[in-house]
Amino acid sequence: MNRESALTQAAFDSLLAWLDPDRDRAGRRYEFIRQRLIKIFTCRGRPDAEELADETINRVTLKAPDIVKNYEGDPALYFYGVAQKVYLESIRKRPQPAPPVPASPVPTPEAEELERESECLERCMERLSQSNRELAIEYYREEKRAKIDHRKELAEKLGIAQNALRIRAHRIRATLHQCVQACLEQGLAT
Amino acid sequence: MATSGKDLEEIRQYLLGTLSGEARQRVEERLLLEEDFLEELLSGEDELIDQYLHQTLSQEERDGFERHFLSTPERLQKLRFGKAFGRYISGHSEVAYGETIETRYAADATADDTAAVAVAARLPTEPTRAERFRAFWSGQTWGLRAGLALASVVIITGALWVSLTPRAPRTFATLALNISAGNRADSTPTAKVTLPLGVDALRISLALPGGAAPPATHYRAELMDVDGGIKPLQIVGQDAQSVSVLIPAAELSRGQYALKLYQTGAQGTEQPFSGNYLFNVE
Repeated sequence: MNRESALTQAAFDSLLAWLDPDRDRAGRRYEFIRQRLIKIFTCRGRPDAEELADETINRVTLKAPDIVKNYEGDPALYFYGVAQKVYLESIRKRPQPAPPVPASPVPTPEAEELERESECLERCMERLSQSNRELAIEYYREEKRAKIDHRKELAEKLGIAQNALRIRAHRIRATLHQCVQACLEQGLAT
Repeated sequence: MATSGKDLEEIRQYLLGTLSGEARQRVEERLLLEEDFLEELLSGEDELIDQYLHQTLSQEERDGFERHFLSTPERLQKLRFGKAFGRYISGHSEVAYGETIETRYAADATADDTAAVAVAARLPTEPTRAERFRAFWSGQTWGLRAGLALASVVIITGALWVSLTPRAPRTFATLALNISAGNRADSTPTAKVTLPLGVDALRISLALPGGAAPPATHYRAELMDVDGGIKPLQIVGQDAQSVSVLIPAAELSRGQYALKLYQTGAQGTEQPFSGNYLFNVE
């Protein structure tokens, strides 16, 4: 093992120890922070969000042995401070273009693609439990004002808060999205 | 921490890129400190997408949505899914909830009757083609049957090979593109291609950005459409100044496209070029 990699390993160990004395919990905390940094960079419009998050983590890792001695507070906030710096530097270095935006706001995929997509969606909806399927349809079916009233009624009917209903509906939708993605990637092989 | 109406509005503004300074920092710190906050944010994304598709965003919000929110492939994918999901919901909500058990039962009964009628209509009064074939087949010698079977296999295999082997494009339209660091708001005019092309494929020469030397050992290109769909492209040529790719004409439909080019250097690390090659198909 050369000196550089030994130092990096030592720094990484310091970082994990700083995040949590328990190694497993520290690993989960590390992954949590990484995912959230990716989301922050994505929300700032960066298609290279993962790279920027990794750059942030690398910088914090290199300084970890010193930070542990002097820093007080939640480590996530230290990462955030470094992330802000990485973001500003990246803008200065190479202004990242936003990908093209549809000239027409409603894109028009080909009929064949649409058919494949709706076939996948049908399949994925069938895989949901009946209660989740019904909740998804109920939650998303109205528009505008009617939607607000309808969701309020639905939350009351289910005996849960509107926030809880919103999160539940989002989870079902996210599951469906993942399922449809997988189905399209498999080319309807299953 | 419970999410209030004010929080939801702040999340919404954050997603549209209209928050700055302390407000933005507040949202991002919550994202890093609160376990459940990510789901709040993601559900906010769902809401925004639906409002965009239902055209209930104000013009200003719509601009923010298109310019800021849709700036990553992940979000374009979500938009595409949102459209498909919306179609599903509008097509199924009536059936699932507007229908009583009686009407559902009646529909099932009608379907069964229809199927029975269809079966009855197919009852043969004369020998079918299959029966005629079986009668002919059983009347032949073993040798002749084996020969006919072999000939059939050869003919079917040949037909399949011809139909499934992709025909290499023979005629091309050509387009030369320079990398663009901007989006459609750029003052640089975007190259245009008009359909129908009238040729087998579009060959695009991508000028390598100046100062990109040393030349990469390997290039990879992807075509991204307005739905966020990404397709790998075939590299058909490269030199010190440019890389050429081929897009079959059948794969192009009207809309805006972006080509992303990646290079792999001598050390084997792949790096994307900063910027995209943009063109419109009209």
